[in-house]
Amino acid sequence: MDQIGTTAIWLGVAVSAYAAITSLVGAKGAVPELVVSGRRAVYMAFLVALVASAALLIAFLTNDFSIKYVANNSNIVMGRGYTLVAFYAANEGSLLYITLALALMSAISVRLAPRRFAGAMPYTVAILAVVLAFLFGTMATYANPFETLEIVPPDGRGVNPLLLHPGFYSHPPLIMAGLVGITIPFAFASGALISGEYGDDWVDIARVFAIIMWGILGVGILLGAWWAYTILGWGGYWSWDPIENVALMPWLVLTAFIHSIMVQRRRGMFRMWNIVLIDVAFILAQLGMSINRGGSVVSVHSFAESTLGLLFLSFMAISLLFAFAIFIWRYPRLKSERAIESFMSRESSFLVNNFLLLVVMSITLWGVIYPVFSNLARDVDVSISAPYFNRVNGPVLLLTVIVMGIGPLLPWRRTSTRSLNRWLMAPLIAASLTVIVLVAFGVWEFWAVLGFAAVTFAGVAVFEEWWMGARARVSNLGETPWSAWWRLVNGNRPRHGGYIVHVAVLSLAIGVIGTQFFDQRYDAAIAPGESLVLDDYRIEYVDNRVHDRPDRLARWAQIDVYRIDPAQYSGEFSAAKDAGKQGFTVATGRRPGDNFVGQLEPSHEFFRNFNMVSVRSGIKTSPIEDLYVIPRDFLEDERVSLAVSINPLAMWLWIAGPIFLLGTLVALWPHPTLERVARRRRMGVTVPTDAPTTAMES
Amino acid sequence: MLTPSIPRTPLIWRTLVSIGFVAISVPLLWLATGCVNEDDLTTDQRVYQLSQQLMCPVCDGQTLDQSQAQLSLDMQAVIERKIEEGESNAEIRDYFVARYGEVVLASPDAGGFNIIAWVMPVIIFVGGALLVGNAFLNMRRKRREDGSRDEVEESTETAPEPVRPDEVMDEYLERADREIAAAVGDARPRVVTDADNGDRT
Repeated sequence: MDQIGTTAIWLGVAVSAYAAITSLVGAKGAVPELVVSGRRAVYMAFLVALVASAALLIAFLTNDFSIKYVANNSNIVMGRGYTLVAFYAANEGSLLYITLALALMSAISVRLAPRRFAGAMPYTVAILAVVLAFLFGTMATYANPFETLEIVPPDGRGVNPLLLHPGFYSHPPLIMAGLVGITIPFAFASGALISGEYGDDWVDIARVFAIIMWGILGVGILLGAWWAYTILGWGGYWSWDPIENVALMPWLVLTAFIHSIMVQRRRGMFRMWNIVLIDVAFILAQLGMSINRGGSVVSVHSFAESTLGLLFLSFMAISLLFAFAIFIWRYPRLKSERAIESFMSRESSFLVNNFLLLVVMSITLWGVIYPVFSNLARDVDVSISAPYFNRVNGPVLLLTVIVMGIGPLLPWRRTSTRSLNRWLMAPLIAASLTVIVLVAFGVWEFWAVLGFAAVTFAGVAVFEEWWMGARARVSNLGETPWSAWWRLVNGNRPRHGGYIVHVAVLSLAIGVIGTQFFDQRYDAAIAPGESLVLDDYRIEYVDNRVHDRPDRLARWAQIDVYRIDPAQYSGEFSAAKDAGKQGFTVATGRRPGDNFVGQLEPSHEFFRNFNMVSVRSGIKTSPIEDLYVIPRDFLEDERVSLAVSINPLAMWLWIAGPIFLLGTLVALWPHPTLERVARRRRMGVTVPTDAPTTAMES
Repeated sequence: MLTPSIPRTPLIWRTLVSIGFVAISVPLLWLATGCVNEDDLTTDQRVYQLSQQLMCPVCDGQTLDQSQAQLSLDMQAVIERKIEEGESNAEIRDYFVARYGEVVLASPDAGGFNIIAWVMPVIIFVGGALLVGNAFLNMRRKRREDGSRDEVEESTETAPEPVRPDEVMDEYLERADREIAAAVGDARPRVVTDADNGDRT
């Protein structure tokens, strides 16, 4: 297997180098045969990557411990289901995985490229091929997954225990694919730029692939947050860790890109700016891959460490120079057809959106590099963690939510103040009502109230849009409200898909505000039979179970959860309050008013081979709040040390996920109407007659 | 022909919006989040607050409240003891900085060299705002200079260069919108939904 794999990787180097060279030579010398050959070489690169991946997979399945990577990341007892996980669990395999992902997406995008883009295609192919050649080359020389061991061990070490979870099937591969996939829109933009066919032909296909990568990254990030929160027992879902940040930054820039690309499509503006955005996204994605592969920053995710990070960093520097050079070279041609007409227009709201997203990105980048900077400048190590990012990014994100409410209300080009005022009325009233209600119920946290008001504002703005549109359809076409809404969304999927994503972001914002501002926590060690009371929960530690397995020692705490009537515990509550405690421990059993709500089984697993503890939290979830229990330690005297927290509105973080995915899919769903319109136009019909001009009275 | 005469947004309104934007955003950036008076919090709440502000020295990039390491449990016990002894949050932070160095703080104090860490976000925000504002003004000036040419472009039914079908649609829809707006008063243009079919906003 190792020979097949190594051969395939070297073939990959050759094939991608061939693709790059023939495409360029073919384009320069106007030899169409070479251009076609170069394009086909991309398909070949995919095939070769597929062969190498299959070889590694077979090596895992057959426990071929003569291959170092297999020996390090697998063992005999490992469930075969985790073979796929072991595949990308460490550097070499993950490199093969991203090569496969990029080769696949390159092949698809090259196949799907529109014919009118043909002039620029060789350059696009060349760029894709160079990146592929870099990945294949890195594997061939520095990180060969098929490197063999001289002495074949009888058993492997096994996979990193933190990764032994179904969550690992989805989160890391999505992030990796999303990051490497940003190469595709970058290649199309740069190809167009180099060829001089700078026009707007690259925009459509780049937009589609940018949204795909953005969706993959977004889902990957959300899954990572969900995984950390529900499974890993890290206590939180987002800690502004460098690895998290380097996935977030390209996502933010892509978010800006897929907004501003619409301005280029619709109005022929922001041409230069869109190129800058996709360049920045590509560079940041490479920064992400570099830091992922072990670099200069400290991270909770430092699973893989190697000098590979440096190699990727160098490639990033080269890409930066390349992108900058062609940008300067083609700068004179990147002129907008039109200029912004009014500040009160969709165009300029996209400009503000871009500005805010890039500010968040830049601040985050600054936070990631500042510790390195401090170390270099004065030899003092500092940490930049959640408190910093929450404080500096929080307000900007709040502004972003507000702009998210205003933007969709502004039509293209310009609007009148009167019209805008009318449309802002409902969202503003709703936001004010939110403030009044929250304050009336005793919620005084300034930022939280402001945050909820902003969420209401933006949410009502979206629903107002849907409400008015659907109502017009109902009254004019006699449709039922739901079908009217669905047809409205279907009539303009990119826009309404975007609105659905906005709703997901708002749901996310609700969860963030709830968990950031209103969480409660109480830590205590309790013996079996004892209970811990926090807020109106009583958590009774019933027993623990131990499961001794060859590779690990697992312990579960069996916990019964009750909702209590605080009046029954008033004595304890006031005593705890006097002592400055959030909660307290009680020895006695059930009191009147205690309502059993369920069982939790948080656990601790100690992995011998890795000398590493993996924690699983226990969660009782509801739309209002989560009860979250982490077993911090099982003590000698049978007691268990628990960290119990109440995380209000946490469920809304995860509700955002499916909504986000739905919105992305709606926005991506291909548009048959466009082809129909194009056909009509070819037949000489300039104005589509089948578009009923409905609904004027709104 | 169909040249619309929607009034330009008045200068005063635009100025107000810009001022409002700056007036809201700059203090937002400056103001600190979560400035809660320590005295209002229970001991537990302060332990939690501080354990979110201190890094676990032996873990990679985890704060005390997230970490399950023994050291971080011990540090939390120290924090609790010190709070009960009446020390302030700042004193406790200083104590740990003296023991473990600045790296123990999850976010550096805004003083000395580290002021850079805190000033940079403001520079980024204000600098970015100036850049965007400048770009916007430039576009407006350019537009005013060759405004007449633009108007002609807009009113031309068939552009000389090939136009994408959906762009034709856009122009058509926008014109329709504006006519409707003029006719009906201020009816919301984009309610013309079905006709938006070609418009892939």
